[in-house]
Amino acid sequence: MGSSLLRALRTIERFGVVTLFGIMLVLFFANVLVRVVAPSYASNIAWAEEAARLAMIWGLFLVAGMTLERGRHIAMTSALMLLRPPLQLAVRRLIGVVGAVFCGYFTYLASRMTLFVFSTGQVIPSLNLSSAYLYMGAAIGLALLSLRYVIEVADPRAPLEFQEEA
Amino acid sequence: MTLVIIGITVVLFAIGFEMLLVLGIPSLLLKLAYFPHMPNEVLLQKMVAGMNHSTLMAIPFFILAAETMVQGQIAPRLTNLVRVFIGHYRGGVGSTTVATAMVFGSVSGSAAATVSAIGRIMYPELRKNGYSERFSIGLIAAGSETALLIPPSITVIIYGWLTGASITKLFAAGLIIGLVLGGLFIGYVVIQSIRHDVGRLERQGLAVRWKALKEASWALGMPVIILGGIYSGMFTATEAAAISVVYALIVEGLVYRELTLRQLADIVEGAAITSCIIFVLIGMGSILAFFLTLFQIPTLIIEVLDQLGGELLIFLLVVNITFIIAGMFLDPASAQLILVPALFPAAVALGVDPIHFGMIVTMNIAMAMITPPFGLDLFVASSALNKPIALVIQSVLPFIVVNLIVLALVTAIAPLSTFFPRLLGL
Repeated sequence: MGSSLLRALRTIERFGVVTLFGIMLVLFFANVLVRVVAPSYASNIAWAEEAARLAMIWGLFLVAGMTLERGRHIAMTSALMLLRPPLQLAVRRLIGVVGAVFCGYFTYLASRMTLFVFSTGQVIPSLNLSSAYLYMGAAIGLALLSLRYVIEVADPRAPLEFQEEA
Repeated sequence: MTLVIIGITVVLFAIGFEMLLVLGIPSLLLKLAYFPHMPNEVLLQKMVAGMNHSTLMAIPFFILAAETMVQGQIAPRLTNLVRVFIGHYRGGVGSTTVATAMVFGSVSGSAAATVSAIGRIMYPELRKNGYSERFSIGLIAAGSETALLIPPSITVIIYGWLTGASITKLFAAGLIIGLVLGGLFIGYVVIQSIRHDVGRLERQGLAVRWKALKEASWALGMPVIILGGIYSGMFTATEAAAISVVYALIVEGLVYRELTLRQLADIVEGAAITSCIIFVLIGMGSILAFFLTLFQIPTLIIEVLDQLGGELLIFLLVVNITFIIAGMFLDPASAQLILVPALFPAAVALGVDPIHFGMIVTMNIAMAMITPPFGLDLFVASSALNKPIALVIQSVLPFIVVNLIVLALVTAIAPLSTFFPRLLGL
């Protein structure tokens, strides 16, 4: 049950990030193209740059959890590798707990920011869209990151190999 | 309290916490300890504001372009071109390794990607032609550093964003410093090749060269677009980055016709993950930089320097030593995010040109890729070439000396960094 939910989540994340990065590229490229080919229309498409940036922020946050799951976030793991596997697992669990609490707290802050900015009516000028969407992307991404840390606690990644073996 | 926070940070770092937590947790603790009345949401706001910047959009675009080219045909065709043109000279195989890394650098901007991409191709070739195991490993790990200097360089983009210095000027300066570093590596290769009388590749006939040139003609358009577009003032770095993605997709998809939709989705996902790694650090680093400013760390540094007599060369020496030590332990983005906001104001106060300072920083970051114990490229080389890390560390030592020579030149001779941007009228 849990693993099939996680599989579905991964599919959604993958589809979401590919779509968002696609939108980012198309909008930003269109903006440049119009500026070079038909400069008189450039002001009509000025919103595209802001929209591309919003897509980038959403895409980057959306993929943050997946990045952790694949062990790609940068960490200095050399000392960890020297530990015996059971101790490594214990440290990874500790990292998972701290990471889940930290990212969970940031998710809470991002959610509060989203609601607050919605209530103030502050907008991204060229898009006429609430600035809260920026923080909403952060809230979703941080929640996904927090979830992956929780999974680390329950089921840590396989111990890293000793680097000095050869 | 500050010492406790620093202590916690060091422990988190040493036992393998992700850098996003190593940068984020002390920021949160500083906020709670010293600014209890400030709303906590400020942490989140600084993080998002740090990431939401149009200059930084160049990073995912350049990464996307690089992934497309490395997965596809553009990168291998450019590599082949270098090989058939310079492989037959004395030290040709070694020089080809360095030049290939430089060409890869001109399309990718990531040293780690360059190590793993050229390592597997060039290592067997170097060994076959009589280069020692150590020399071959060292050359691959070190040669790849040039990717950090030759534009487009992610390190340079982050520096430009942190300091407000012109990315176009930095790219122009980076090209020269990258060529100097690559040139010295090639010089070292040639000397070693003469001493040990190692082999070279067969000289290729005109027909082979013409074929390689023809095959790489579309690929050659890429550096032209990136560098030509930016230096002519036609595009900003971010615009050139977006155009390079579209160009790479068109060439790989429509001209070479080897890109499937599934591959494309994998490439985009891979690029998003690589970008995310950098942006999460940028976000967390932005919070830390905010607190460094509130603590007036830059002002403190300037005051200390004044007491030391405000000697420029001493300051730059301190900068270099600080970066070398930080670079031994930290990844490139984290080292920059922590040190540049603290040191840049002092550099400006002492009259250092921001472009010159940028090259000193970038050169240090490039060297940090191979400085033991934790240079990133050491580990990438160790895993890509399947060699123990201790051997990789021994192998890069002579190349660190070459790096130190270039770093000394870049530090002492400011015009080395500034003449080319001026020449281009930037």
